[in-house]
Amino acid sequence: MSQKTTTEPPKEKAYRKLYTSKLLRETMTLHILSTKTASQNGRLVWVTSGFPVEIPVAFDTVAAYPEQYGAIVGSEKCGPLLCGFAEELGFSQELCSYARSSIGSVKKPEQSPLTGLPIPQALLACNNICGTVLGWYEAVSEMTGAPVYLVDTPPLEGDQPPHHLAYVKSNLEGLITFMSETFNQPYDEEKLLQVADLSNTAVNLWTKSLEACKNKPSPLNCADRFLSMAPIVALRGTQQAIDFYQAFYGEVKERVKQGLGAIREERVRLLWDNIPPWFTIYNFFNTLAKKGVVFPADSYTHAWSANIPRGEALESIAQVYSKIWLNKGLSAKIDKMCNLIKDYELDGFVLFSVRSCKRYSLGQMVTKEVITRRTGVPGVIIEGDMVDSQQYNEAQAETRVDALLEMIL
Amino acid sequence: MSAPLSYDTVVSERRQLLQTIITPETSLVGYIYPHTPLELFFAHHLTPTLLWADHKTSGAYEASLQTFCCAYSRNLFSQRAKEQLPKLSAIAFPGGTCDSLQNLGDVWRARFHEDTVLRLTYPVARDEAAITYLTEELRGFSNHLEVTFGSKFSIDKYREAVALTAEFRAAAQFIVAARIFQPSIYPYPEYAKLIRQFFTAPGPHTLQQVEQVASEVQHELRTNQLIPSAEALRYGLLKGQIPELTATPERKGPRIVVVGGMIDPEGIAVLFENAKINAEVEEAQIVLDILSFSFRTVFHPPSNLQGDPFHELAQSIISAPAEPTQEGLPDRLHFLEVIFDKLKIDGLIIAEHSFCDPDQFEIPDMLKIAEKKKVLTVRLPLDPEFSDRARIEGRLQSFFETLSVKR
Repeated sequence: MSQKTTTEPPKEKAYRKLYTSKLLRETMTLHILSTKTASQNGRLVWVTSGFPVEIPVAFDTVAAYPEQYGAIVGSEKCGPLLCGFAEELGFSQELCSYARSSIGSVKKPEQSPLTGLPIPQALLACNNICGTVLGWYEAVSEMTGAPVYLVDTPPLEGDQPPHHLAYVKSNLEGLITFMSETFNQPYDEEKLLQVADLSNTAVNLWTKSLEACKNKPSPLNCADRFLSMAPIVALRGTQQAIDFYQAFYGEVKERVKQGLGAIREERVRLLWDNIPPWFTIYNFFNTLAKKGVVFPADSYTHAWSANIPRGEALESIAQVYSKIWLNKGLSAKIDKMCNLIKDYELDGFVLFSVRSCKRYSLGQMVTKEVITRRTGVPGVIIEGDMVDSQQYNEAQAETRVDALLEMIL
Repeated sequence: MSAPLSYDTVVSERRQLLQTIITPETSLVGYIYPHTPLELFFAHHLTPTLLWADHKTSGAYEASLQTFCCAYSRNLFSQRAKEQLPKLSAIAFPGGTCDSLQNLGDVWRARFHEDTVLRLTYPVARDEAAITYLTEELRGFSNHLEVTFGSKFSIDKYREAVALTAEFRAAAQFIVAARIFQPSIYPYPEYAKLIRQFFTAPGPHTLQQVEQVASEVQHELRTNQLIPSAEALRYGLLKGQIPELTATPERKGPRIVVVGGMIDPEGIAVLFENAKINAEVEEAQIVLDILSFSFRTVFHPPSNLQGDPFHELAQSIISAPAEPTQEGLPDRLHFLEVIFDKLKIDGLIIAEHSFCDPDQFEIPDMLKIAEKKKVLTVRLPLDPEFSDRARIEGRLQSFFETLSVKR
């Protein structure tokens, strides 16, 4: 006797996948391939996420981002393995896991995702995001022989005084000389301005996409933004970034027009602070999506939102890259987060205390109190790391976020 | 056999010493970063005092700072939260040196509204542009001191202070150079104490003590005809170079160098001396430390009294031996290699503060150099509270025992 079977429609997921994620994958795959070619051709630079990348792009070099590679390592769940390679070399387990995984991948590329980042011809760091980048890049320099150039942007308190601007600008002039000598190419200011224009166009598209999340429901969730920020980090100043963000912003606009949210049922809107736990990024945000929790804004992906004004190129770049808000102290960060809560009409906030990232994380206890006092919304701190999953306790994080949700719902 | 050294005694002596310089008129400014320009405070009629970690203070930071904040920052915060710091008119934080201290200043402001929190920001680079930047930072800082305390920059006070620090440094540098040749001439714990006394209470009284010791050391060296050699070495160290030694250094026991960042030299001395007693290797000697609160501060070049005071101070700060928070790892590693080559070093103690990124990034490369030069090493992960003291002393003991076997 044959048994009649019924086919149930597939259960809808709590979150909606972006169709531009395919284009994102293609864009980033091409970028990875281009870094390998650039390395072979002697034109690859490693840069920090807050580096004025427009300058190396104007010198026809290709930029690879160790922090982005750290995100891949985290997502591939091999953070502890690669960090372990660095620890075998004597690097303390207390150091940044982006740095450790990067150093580990240089040591053992054959055991690293994508066989590690290709070997660079120069290491370009800017300390506007943290002080760790100097020690990290100097350590990689000792391993690879690639020279380091640091753009020093001392932390600001309040407005940028003239001597600060002059100092950062002189660092950029030094960078120009360094790039000219290292890559045997003269500086072309007009080309730099063109690259800056391309960078601005991509940044504007990205910023508009982020601001679209003020809508209810929010067209993007945290994981969407963290994954889609890859080109704004790695391809700023190129046409590829613009091509991607035109498509991306198109999809975001379409979602807004149709009233489609990033998650099916938006009940609670939260702010996210800090780098995410890459090894559980889908699991973390999608688990919360099932409870109706969306994160329309975060303090991290908004970092790439400043335009380089037309004018004297190096001065404009010095202004923009000095004023990255991580370089402006705790009160600037708190102000920004309070504004995000107000502008995006958020119900609460989650501060991820990332053991690796002192500049970002130290101060979160004060931040939590001040934000709640100023905005009236509750928040919670969860602890862990962005790459090293050994430092993360999923159950503890869930319990704390659940407690926050109880306060809100 | 010597009696064990006590860190309790060290800490209580610091407190007593501080009391001797406090009068009702004293405006005491606590500072943290070793290259803070003391002369600038004196020029504004303020008295700077280095804020040392206190091993007995712990556990009052948890509501404000995470455990991965550097151990020194946590300890200072706990001292403040427990009201164990001396009575200060202000506290000066460094900017641009490391992430922990950068954020500590912000958290301090938020938590202790009643405190006057100052911040002087330093460049990471060490070139002419960095000197120009720091010159203007110092000028702005001076203006801020004038507004905050209502006391104008006094050129006479400034000159007195430049003389004070220059004389202290010259005397301390000579002791350091003499000890490299003849470490038994003046015990390391005593040297560390001199340094601590001066930076806790800089003034004629503590200067006199250093100069007295330098004079006695000089007298002893004269007997051995070592003065020209020591002077040549002192001059070389001041330039960041080590000349060929013109005399054979004393070698009664293993010759050891200590490296690290903002670690208390007296804390190291206590651990070292006690472990020596336990390992029964009393002849082992620390012949040189390269610590922030000792070598790097002592070998500051003097400020030139001619010219713009702020520029001269900036020049002096940038020319001082570089901290791990500054550019120049290859130079620091080269310097260490030359130390191993020329100063007949047997062992290296690497003191690392818990969660101190700048120090911890440099350690693997130091280990490589030590291995290449066949210098035995030991890593001491420390926090100011010595919370893992038994294990640290055990590591040091094993280190001494291995050194003895090697010799």
